[in-house]
Amino acid sequence: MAALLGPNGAGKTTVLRALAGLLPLAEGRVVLDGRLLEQAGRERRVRVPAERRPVGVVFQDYLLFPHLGAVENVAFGLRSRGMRRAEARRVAAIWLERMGLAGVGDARPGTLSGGQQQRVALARALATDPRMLLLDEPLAALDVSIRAEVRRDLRRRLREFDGVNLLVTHDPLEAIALADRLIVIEGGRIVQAGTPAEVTERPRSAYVADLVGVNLLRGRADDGAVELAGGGHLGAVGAGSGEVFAVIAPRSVSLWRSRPDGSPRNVWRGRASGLDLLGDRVRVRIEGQPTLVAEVTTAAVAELHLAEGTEVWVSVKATDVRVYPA
Amino acid sequence: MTQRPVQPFNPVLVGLAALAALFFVLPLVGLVARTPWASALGVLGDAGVVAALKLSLVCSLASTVLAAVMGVPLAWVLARLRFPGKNLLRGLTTLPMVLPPVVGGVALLLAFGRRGLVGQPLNEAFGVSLPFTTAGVIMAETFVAMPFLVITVEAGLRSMDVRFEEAARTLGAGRWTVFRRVTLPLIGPSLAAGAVLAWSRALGEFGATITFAGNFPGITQTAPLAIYIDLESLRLSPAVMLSLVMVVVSLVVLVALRGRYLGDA
Repeated sequence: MAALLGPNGAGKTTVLRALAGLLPLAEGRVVLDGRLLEQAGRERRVRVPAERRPVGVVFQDYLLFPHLGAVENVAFGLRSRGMRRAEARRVAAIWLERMGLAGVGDARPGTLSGGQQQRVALARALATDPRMLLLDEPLAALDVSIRAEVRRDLRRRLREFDGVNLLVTHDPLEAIALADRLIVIEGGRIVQAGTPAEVTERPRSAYVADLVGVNLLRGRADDGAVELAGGGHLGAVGAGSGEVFAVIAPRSVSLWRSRPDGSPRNVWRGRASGLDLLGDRVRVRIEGQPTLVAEVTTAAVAELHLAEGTEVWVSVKATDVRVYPA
Repeated sequence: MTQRPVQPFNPVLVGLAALAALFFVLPLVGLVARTPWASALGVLGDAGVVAALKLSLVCSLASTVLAAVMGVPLAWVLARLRFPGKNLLRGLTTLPMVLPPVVGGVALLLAFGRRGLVGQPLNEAFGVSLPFTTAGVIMAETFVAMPFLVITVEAGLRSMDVRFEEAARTLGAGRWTVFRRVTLPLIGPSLAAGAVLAWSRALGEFGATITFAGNFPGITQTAPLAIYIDLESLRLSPAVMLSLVMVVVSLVVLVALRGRYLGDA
């Protein structure tokens, strides 16, 4: 199971629609299990239409046909592929039973709960025996109170599917819970891909850094020092050399009223520009070179008289700066 | 609990509204009050009256079916396809709604008449002549009624969520299956409303019919034509009886459409 993760407008749904054959490619190709589904460009164009692709889709708001009952919704794909009505209904009923919906029968989608609708949509997509299953924000339409339960349920059911599984989501929790491979896209491009651990360990974009809640800086390393792209420099342990990312956890950032002592520290001056209360801690954005977010206690805020515009000294231990190649 | 805001009483508006209501109600009251019931009920079985009603029913239903078979695809083309001249086509499609029906009849005659643009070659090649036939009545009625169906169905197609069609395609449905099993059922209410509007327009058709199809009892003389001729010939009973039947039919249609055009408020 792979998850396509990205902010709104990154192009996630566009990718999904292109894979399903609902949106023609301007360039590139789609290959599934070694079968060429689409090839755009100058030479030898190929385009298998959506109705002939072995692809199942669970749409964001499920798009269950409102004029058909649950069984008929699930039987729709089978009948479209030429199965007779009675047989298609029988197979559909088995799928609904497998989804724990034995009793819904011909209930109209509008009378089912959000979680039930999602399972009908999953049954409908799987009933045609696709080789690839695409899920577009499968939990977004659900009430927050039942999401965790439905997510667990979905995870279990998706394990039984042996084809290619692609989840599209803007919710990192959903991506990490359901997928074993993350593909992060931003502005229509893949910015990072790997296991959830790999991606969160070594963020390569502001979006992922925000998700994980760390400061991400970029620069050029040379002999234990990093010259930052946005101005300023950092001492780091084992920085190597070349283009690097540097990550600093907000909790590792200390703030002072006067210049602190201690040799293995990076110290610079900054100005507080935004304070956010998070439980008993406060996240403070400090403008400077570099600009980053510090997380301090409410006691520290009081002691430093920290407010919008307060001048402070910032320090980060060299051992708290994690550096990896860009 | 909230209360409806109190609307200040405006005697001028209410007075004019009462006048309008009277204007609608009085003719109906007059029709019922002045019906010579004894003789009118007697003509209900008259061959002429029965033939006119039957012809009206058959022709209006046939033209509704024709309008649906041609009008739904036309509405689909107008709603879904992009092509140059689309607005012009939409304008021409809806023109019969504002055109005086007599003018429509003249235009039909010049196109499909014995010496018409299409009518002449049609007559010479196959010996087919449409004016002054029952088929001509159906054509004239379709001409004036189809726009009602087209604009209603087009609005339904535009407000429908096309992603249902996409979902159907990902489930393996080809274009005909999508249209038959998803598009048509989803625009069902619009299609029904459009068909009822078209049917009632066809039922009342007079001008285009008498111009293009003439007034031959049993062949082209529909109920509205028969009413007019009876009245001209001072045969009050059949004219009134046919009128009453048309009023009842119209009322039934209005009740059937209740909720769609007659709100609950």
